[in-house]
Amino acid sequence: MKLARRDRDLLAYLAPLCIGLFLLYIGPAFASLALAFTHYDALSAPRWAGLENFQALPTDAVFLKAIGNTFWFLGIALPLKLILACALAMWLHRPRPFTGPTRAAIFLPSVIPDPAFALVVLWIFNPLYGPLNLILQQLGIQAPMWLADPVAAPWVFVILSLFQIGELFVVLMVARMEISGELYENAQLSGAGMWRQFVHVTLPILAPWLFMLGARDMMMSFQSTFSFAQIMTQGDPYYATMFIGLMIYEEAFDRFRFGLGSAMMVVTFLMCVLVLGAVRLGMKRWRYQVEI
Amino acid sequence: MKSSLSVLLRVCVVAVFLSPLYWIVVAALRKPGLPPPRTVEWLPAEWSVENFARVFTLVPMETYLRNSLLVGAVAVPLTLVFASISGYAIARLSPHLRAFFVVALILAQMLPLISLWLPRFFLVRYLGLLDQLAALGLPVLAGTLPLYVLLYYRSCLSIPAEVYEAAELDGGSFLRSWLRVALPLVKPTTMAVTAFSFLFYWGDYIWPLLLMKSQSNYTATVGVAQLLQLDKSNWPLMMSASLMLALPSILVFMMVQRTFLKGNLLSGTAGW
Repeated sequence: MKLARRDRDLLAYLAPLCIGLFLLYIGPAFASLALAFTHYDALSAPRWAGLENFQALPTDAVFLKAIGNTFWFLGIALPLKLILACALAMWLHRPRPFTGPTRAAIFLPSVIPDPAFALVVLWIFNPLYGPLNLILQQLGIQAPMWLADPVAAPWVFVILSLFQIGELFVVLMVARMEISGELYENAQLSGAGMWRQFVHVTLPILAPWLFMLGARDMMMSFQSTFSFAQIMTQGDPYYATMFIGLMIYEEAFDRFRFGLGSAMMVVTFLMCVLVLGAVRLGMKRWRYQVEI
Repeated sequence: MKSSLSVLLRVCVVAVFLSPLYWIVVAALRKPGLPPPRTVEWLPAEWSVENFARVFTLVPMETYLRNSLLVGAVAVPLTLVFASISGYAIARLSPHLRAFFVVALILAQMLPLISLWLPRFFLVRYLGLLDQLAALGLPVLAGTLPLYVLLYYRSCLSIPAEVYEAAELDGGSFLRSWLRVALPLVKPTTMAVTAFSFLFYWGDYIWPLLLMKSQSNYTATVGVAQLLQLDKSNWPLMMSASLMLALPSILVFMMVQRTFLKGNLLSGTAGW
């Protein structure tokens, strides 16, 4: 393929970006995949392992627990986050009194660095002295031990993730602002109420956004659950908060089994792709129904 | 009636989302040495700012803060340069090449970062940058986040071709039109990318954790998390350290939130 002269000149200025994308994204993504088929302890050269790492996974009880926890978390937190962000965006997309500060307040927890947020969550949910349980106590509610309780602990992660919806909220709000008002006028003329307007006008337009944001949030949540679990619980109690990020981190950087860690990553990623594929298929069917 | 009800609802939402920050402040200002609270303290039982000073005696917090600032001070300007040049150049490519870069950037942005931990760790080790602050600035090459390049690309796309072609006809080069024509026209993007790349570097926990070994190279995020191992039940101390870590991020966010939350900046990005 021959490039125009202008393109060639421009590509020279894109060299740093190309190097960066290759060194930091494309290269590592493939290296990760390759690493999964090796035994590697970062000291001696990697040895070819074939499928051994993958074969070891189904018998690794902690890994199974971590995968279960991770997808439990995604299954609960992701829909809740999207619904909450979407509801707030629909509510606050028009300028009204006090809307500006409300938008800012919703975004604010998302900019607090993870370690600071982790520590304040530990404090708020502290079973003995934390403000939350003291408030619940005054209201006469029997409060759980939160992070010390294997049933309640994962819910703390769900609750804290609901505070970090800034990006979802803003993107959905802007997407809603850009929908032309005429569409709603037409819907009103044909007698559609608020809910029907949302389902038949707003939702079909927002659906691709929700899918993109959901997919991105899924990928990001592997990182954030790692930071919070690593600081707050180290996977305790009884592996109730052992998420896949922490599992891979411990496997690689504590036990120096980089190949096994990569294999876990590859399996997680493939499962995500399957889930996203299924959601995408479901969306197509739903679209078809709405349009009829 | 209806409108006052909706204002009330807004106030409630604000209260809920600000509550983490509120509890940080209340706990941080509590006088050290008091027994832990038995009933809810909506305001500290006894005030004191002593906790902030104590953090510095327990850990070398000034070193951590300086390291974080240094990384931000070097990486943020470089991010602006690399992201804006790349975005501007992509916007001027012929359509098929442009599409190639946009798709590549979107895919890179969607990659789960945990899949990049191990290879990037080995890359940094190979470059001899392990345990050196410079390693934390490596992402600037790709504009820190592909998203920032895409933001610049979107805003440069709206610059009419005649404008920069005119600038270059007078004998100016690409870099000259980037500096004189493109950058002045995309100021809102520059403001947003400045703020968000600072938030990225200041709040980054995982990379310093993986790449920095000696305490003198820890950043503030790692230092604050480390307090939990040093003094596990000293909540006023940990909350004041958290506040020191969170305040710069909050201030930077407050400076840009008005323009950013109006949606002007992101409008037109719907076509990715």
